[in-house]
Amino acid sequence: MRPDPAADPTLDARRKRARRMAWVLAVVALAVYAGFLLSGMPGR
Amino acid sequence: MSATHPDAVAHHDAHGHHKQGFVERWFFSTNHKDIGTLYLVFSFIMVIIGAALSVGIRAELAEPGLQFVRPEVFNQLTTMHALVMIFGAIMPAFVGLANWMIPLQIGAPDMALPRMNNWSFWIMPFAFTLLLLTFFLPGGALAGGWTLYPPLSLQGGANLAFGIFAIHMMGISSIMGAINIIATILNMRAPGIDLLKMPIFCWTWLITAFLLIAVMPVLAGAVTMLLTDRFFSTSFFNAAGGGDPVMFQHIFWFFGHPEVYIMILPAFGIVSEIIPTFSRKPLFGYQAMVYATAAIAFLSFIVWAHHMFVVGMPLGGELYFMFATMLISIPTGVKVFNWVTTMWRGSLTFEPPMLWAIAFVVLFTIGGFSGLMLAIVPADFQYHDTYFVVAHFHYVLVTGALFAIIAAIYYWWPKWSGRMYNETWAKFHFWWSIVFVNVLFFPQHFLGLAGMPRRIPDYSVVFADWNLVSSIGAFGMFLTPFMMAFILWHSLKHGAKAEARAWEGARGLEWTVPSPAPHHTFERPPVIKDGDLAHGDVTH
Repeated sequence: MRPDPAADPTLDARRKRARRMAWVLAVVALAVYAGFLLSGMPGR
Repeated sequence: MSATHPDAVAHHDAHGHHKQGFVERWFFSTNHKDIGTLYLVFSFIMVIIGAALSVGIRAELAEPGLQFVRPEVFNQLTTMHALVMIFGAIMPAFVGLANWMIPLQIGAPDMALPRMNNWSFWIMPFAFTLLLLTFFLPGGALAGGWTLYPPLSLQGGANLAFGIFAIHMMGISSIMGAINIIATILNMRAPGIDLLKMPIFCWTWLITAFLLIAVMPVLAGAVTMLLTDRFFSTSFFNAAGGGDPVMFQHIFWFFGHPEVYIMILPAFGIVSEIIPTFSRKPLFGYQAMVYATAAIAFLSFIVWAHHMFVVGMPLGGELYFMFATMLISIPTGVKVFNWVTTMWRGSLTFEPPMLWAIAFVVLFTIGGFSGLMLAIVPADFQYHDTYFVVAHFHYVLVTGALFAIIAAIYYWWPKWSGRMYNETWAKFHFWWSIVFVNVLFFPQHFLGLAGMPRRIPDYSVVFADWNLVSSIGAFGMFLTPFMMAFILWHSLKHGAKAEARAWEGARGLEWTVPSPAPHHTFERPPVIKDGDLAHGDVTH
């Protein structure tokens, strides 16, 4: 049988770590976007 | 080939997944190979559209005077050609290659975030439908150049709103793709594949993905400000309201220069895979190549204003950006010398992927040299906005990025399809392309040095001869994607079966799985043996 990825604790742990990393990177991208917008805002 | 990796194929056919229908497989797929294929097919369609636009441009420029299109339509052709080729053809092609190859090269069962992977892809067709529909709006498509400089771009109407929305969608897609690649490479590598044993293609993509996350939001910020200037009465870039149009150029090129490297670093990775295979030698200076890639990525953030020397910067600024730009030639030179040194005294053979890779090294270097010329401030004052710049970036992006993509497709095609292709035809495709790409772009150096401006539909008769030559080159090049499509279609139908290690000198984990690569690979982490890895051994 093909192994169920969710039943493989090592793979599952890696996927969880990957998801956490993805959230952090998404927040960084949003922060860069907001930062550039806000930095241009004063006086406009 | 007996080298097939047991962990790659074990239990592949034993599991009980049902047969997927067309819609389920291609619209709802979370499989990295299928999504890679989708990206590559999408990119091919965009190449055809972008190339058709460029044929329109070159047909108009084949002789002086206005022949086929009105000036405002000409501006739409140049703007849309650039946007389609950059965001629709080159970038998605590299993402497609990353999707196909990174999990195979690091021994991962799939990308780390497979459902987001599906989403990343399926944003793209909608973004480009939106962008291309602007041709049918009153006033036509975006026409202010792909750089969208205000105040010119602010004269747009609905096409600007459509275009900016499309750019936001492409940006979201790229950022999600980049996040997925970073999360995959840093978390999903099989045991034994240390970072400094990873194939160089993975390394170049890892660094590129960080560049994408850093600069795509900057582009999004810039075009959001453009949008509010045009439709919500802000004055970020509107001088009449206290804004600064030059600020847009700074923000745009803070994105735009790293973007150039986003389109070339994965190409470096591809060439660094192919040259060792057909030289039958390990890559010379593997670690130097990794560090050179990182150095180029870093330098790409601190050179942006060399695109805008003529806006009137202080002398100190011009000197700084000139010397910082020239610094890039050092890590780039490391790469070129390492490719040449890899070939030196190698047991060379010249199969189609190797031909494209060698052409990349020679012709990309020509593009690099003309880039160095443009970095010299007083020279740039002369060359700025001339056809010399057009020649420069087409050598980098066509004979650089696009040639590397073609090389990659010819290199990994047997792994994807399980079929070899007709090498004689593929070599004909290569030599045809080499002749016509140089007929197309080399004369543009002469035109630029003679003073012909870019982005014009008509020109002085003194430029007529080289323009005709360049247009003949464009018509010849337009045939090449169709040649390639035919060669690959013929391979699928009639090609000889490919072995697991399709190329004798190929090393790396992807060549340990059967050809074609099974739908699911490495569902259990493979046990890596010495000799499996492209760089280094498990035990050292």
